[in-house]
Amino acid sequence: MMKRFIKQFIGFQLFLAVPITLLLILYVYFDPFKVIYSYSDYSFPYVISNRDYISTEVFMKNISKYKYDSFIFGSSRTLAYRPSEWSKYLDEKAKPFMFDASGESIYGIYTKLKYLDLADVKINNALIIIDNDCSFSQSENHKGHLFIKHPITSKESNLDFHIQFIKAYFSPNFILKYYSYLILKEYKPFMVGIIENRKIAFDTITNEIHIIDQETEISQKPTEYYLKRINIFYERKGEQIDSMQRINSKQLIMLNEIKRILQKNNTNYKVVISPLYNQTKFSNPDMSILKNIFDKNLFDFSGKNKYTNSKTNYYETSHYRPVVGDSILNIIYNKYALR
Amino acid sequence: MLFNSLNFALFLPIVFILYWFVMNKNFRTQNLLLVIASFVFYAIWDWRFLLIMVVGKSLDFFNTIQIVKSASDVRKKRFLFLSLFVNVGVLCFFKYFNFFADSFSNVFSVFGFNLSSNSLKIIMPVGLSFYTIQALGYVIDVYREEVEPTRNIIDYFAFISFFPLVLAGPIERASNLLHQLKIKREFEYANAVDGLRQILWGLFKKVVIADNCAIYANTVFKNYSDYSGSTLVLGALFFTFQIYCDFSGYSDMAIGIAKLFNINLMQNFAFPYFSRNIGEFWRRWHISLSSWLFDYIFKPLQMSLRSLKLFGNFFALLLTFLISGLWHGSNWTFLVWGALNTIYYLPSLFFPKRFTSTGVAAQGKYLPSLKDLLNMGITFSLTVFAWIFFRADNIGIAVGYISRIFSKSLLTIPNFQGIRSSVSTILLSGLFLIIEWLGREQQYAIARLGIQWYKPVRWAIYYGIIIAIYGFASEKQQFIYFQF
Repeated sequence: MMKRFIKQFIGFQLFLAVPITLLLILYVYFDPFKVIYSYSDYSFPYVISNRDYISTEVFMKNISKYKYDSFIFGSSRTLAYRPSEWSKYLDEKAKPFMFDASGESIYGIYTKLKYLDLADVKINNALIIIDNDCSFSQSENHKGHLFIKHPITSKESNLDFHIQFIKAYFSPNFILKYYSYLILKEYKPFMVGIIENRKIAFDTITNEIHIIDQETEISQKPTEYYLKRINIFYERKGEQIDSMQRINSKQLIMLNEIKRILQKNNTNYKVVISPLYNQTKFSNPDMSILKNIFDKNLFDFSGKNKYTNSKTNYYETSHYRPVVGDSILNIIYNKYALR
Repeated sequence: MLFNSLNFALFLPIVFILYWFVMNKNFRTQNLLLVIASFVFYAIWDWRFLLIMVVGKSLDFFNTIQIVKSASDVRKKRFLFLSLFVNVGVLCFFKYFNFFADSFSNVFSVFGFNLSSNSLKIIMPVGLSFYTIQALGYVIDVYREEVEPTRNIIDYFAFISFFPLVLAGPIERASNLLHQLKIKREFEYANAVDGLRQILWGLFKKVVIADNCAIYANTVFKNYSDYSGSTLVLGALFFTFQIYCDFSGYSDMAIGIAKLFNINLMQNFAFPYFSRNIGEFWRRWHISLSSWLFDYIFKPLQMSLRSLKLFGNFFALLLTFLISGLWHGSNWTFLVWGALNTIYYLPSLFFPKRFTSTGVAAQGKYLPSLKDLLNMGITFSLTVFAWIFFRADNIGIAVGYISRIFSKSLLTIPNFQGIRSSVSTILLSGLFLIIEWLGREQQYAIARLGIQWYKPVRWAIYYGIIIAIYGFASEKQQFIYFQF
């Protein structure tokens, strides 16, 4: 009876195993998330990728050759701070690198700094970009294939890391959109959330991000760009103070550790609070904590100000443009002469 | 470890192979494996929870032996009360400590003392309510001499901690489960295949219906003040399907898993939404708890209040439902839900002949009579109304929710954020209801579906269910009854 049961069970499973195996082979062949093979250039991805993984991979591949010693940490909003621009305010020999991640949290920044410190990488300069909706949302490794940290920095299992991607790949939503794109070879509105419809380039050395088409569109036809997105740029209620205290005890320890590592390395560092479109300022207790830890190295651009007043400083309501980043760099490094 | 997780998909085959190929020498080696597997399964949640279970339930084990050994009734009673005291005490501590701590903290804050209740927060061990009352039932049965106690601690823990039921039931009786654990289980093809089928159906109910309904029920309940009466009715219906498919889906999986080990657990749900009165509903909903409350709470209360005749019955019923409400948690909403069900039950109590429904509705027929349909509609509506209290975070929200339902906006077209995407869930729930109706005379809806058909057709149905599970799987939701 057991023999019959096993035979029937395996027979039943075999029918299921055929499409699953086929999809798995295609996953290994196409490597949609670019996490299986190593690539010389991660630019122009057609699948929305894990920025943490890409940044860390680029770093590991290049560190012995380029000897990076200056780092920009933060979420995708760091795209406003270009290493090429930042280097103008640093020592001539400085080797900047953008160490960003999607939805970067204080956990991610801390683990990256800890990793650099333990690997004896020089950290002469650091630019840490934080905000109140992203930076303190996590105090441990992120969940989901877009946000999970590279195992080399999180020190978590490689298997768990790859399982996140396999799970994401096998979701019907992904299969439908991904293979539709491969067949049609062009972006369609229903592919939103899976397929990248922007042309994004990453510098193969500094990891600098360039959103080519959006930036071109804004500079060539600014009125049309914002007219098209009139519904996205909602009316704001003026400056609001965040009523929620976001920094928890675990994150407080991480903030102190970040400071300890930076001090140990004698790092020239700046912590920038992003000018977000929503014009929300950090809660008062959180601001006191940050001021207490980073003192004069903290620069707050949140709330209502010259950057947040104009929607032309933004691509959409989440990401601000390099023109803002350039101006902020000028302010925070104003004691140094621009080379 | 959830039944619908990858970890469990690895855990179950390992235990299955060890059970039938390595530890199949006799019933004791089989039980030993079940205990080890159950402890691992439970400790994965939190090893400290396992410690609480092992220590607490060991006391019951020794108490039952002492009850049998005791010559005098007084001594027997002493051990019974010790078990009752410890079990109820532990249950109350974990269930109500936070509630009382917060209340004390609030009272003290009035006088200017700042007691931080956050530092005192107690986490309730998962499954505690289920295995505690299962153990209590066992102790009472031994005291009443209805069950012979086991003197083997392995057999005992195989009964108390059996992994398919330790987290959320069914709450088993010693007369059924312990009895089966005392004989060697032989592999039975038909039972194992039936088990797999029931697991598949349970998974479908949980992943496709419950988890999808949960998204919309949560949206509506969270922002109820923004929605029209008709939308709130739809939200309550989503929750009605969510709670049924979540819990009965879990029970189906638990029963199906047990069948793989040739252990038959009691039926926990018998198509309750097709009940023709509330009495029938409670004989079909969470049967293992309802029958437990009937045997160990209602009947003794009814006996001791029998001099009050009908009012004695009423008080016994009210107390039973209030205890049932309290069992679910320290919130006034559960008490109101219990009281409401008492009111619903009154006609069955006072006019038992008029409200006694035996068997399933429209037995042997495709369609119900008009009278049955009307009765089912009324019972279903009353149940949906009571679920509003069960789901609401507090009484204020429940009252607010209900008062918005009974407004002019009840006659408008439902509308909420995500209503378009909810259409597929509504259609699936409708299809599910039809399958349930067609299979209502079985233990679970698809128990006999296509059983006589040609194998490829039958398998095609199962593949269809698997594809639906895969295709309609939404964000994984915790099983509702884990919180109780």
